[in-house]
Amino acid sequence: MIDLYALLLLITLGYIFGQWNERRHFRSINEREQALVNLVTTNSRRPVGELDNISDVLLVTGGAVISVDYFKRIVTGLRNFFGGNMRAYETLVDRARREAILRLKESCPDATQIINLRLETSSIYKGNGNQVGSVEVLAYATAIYTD
Amino acid sequence: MQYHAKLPENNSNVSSEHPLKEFIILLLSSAVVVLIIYGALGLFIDIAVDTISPEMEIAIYEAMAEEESEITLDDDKQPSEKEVLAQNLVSQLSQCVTIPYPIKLTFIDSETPNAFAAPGGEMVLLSGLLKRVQSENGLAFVLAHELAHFKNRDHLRGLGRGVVLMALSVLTTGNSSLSRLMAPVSSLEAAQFSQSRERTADATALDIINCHYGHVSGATEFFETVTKASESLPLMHYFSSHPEAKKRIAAINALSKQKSYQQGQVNKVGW
Amino acid sequence: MFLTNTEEVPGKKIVACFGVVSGSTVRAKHVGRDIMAGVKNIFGGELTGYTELLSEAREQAMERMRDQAEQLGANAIVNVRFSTSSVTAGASEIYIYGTAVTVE
Repeated sequence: MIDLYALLLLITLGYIFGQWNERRHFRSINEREQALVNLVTTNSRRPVGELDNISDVLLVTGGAVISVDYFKRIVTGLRNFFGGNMRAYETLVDRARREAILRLKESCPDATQIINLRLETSSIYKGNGNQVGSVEVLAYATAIYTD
Repeated sequence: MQYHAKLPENNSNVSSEHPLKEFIILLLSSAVVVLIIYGALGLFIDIAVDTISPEMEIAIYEAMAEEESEITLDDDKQPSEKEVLAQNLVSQLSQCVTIPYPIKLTFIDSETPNAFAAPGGEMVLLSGLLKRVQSENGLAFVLAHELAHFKNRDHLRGLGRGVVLMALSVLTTGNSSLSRLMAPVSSLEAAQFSQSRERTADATALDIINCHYGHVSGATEFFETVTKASESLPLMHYFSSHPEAKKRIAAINALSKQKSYQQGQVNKVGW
Repeated sequence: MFLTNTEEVPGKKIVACFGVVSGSTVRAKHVGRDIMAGVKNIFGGELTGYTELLSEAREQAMERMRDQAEQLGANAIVNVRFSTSSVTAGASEIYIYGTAVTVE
């Protein structure tokens, strides 16, 4: 019985703090994306339009590791039994990816264009067994500066 | 080519459904699945118990008992007066009920007032029980209750379900937090099953008592002493293997009224 | 909507660019499929349940990416790239991204 109470406590804590964290993170992502919306970003190999006076070309990167909370782990554990969309992990992947791209953009705010954006995922932390505790995304691209 | 600086208004990569809603739906569905699996296995055990003949049960039990030789009984010890009384009572009560094998009484020194039915016709009495009961009739009801378990073969059902419960928990340890979450569901099911068997055994015991004494006085005596001793947490009685003593007393009284069993003199000699 | 994994849509001219759009999904199959896959692991062969899962996840992720491009007013996505990761065992996570453009 003590076991069960501890489990329920972990789930409740996970839910409260996980949701709070997620909402805060999404708000921050939306604000920063809005602030950087004018920075041209594509995953094409060539820049958009014709660029004159290119002063510098740099490889830029950004990464983010976002952890799951206990509530999500339980929900997706149950979901794995029945199958279907893992809603709880969708937000996780979305947050990690957008955060990585944002960090990449924030590392070169003065660039004229960012081209050839690529995303990679990795697995740093694998918890006990096959339970993965986090999503890791690495974004990399080429930043072009003009005079 | 021109660049339009724009962001999508809606995030289509994230579902809008509330996470708690998903959690509750999943939890309820899992509980239903666990109940169905456990219920089906329980039914299977009931069928298996009905097909095991009493001779087979004794044979299996004796084979097991030979291996577990550490359970040696102190034969040299002289049985106490109450123990002799209990032994006689069991053989007298056995005449009122058809049990396919002779019942062997075993006494264990323990303060807990309890008795239980073990496979192979072995009835175990804890000495705490002999100290608590105040009359022969009180003890007779407890013994008759255990005899009813032997008649209904509940000891095998309980054993089988215990094994299934253990096997299920071993199989699901791949996801230990999930199996912990589902454990109350299966134990609730097990407890409810056990309680229903206890109620049946109480009813059978009442018949045995009436057959032996011609009246049912003292049937609720043991439970009355127990109610005073224990006060359990609210809701916890749903998870208990036995119904609440209060409810058992009420059920026994209602049944004896329904069957119009008489009240009579309680035999307090020797207690 | 045109989806290509090349720089341009062949035969069309890109007139406007909207930046990177993406679609992602995490999906799982029910436990029965997982058990069947375990059995299949003994004999070998195609895990049809998981093939199905992969194509379902791919379709859904592509649909989500298309939805984003439509919200921006684009009519083609060029340079589409697929990426996968392993968030949890027994689930398929597909992530697609590309550049939303208007072609004429």
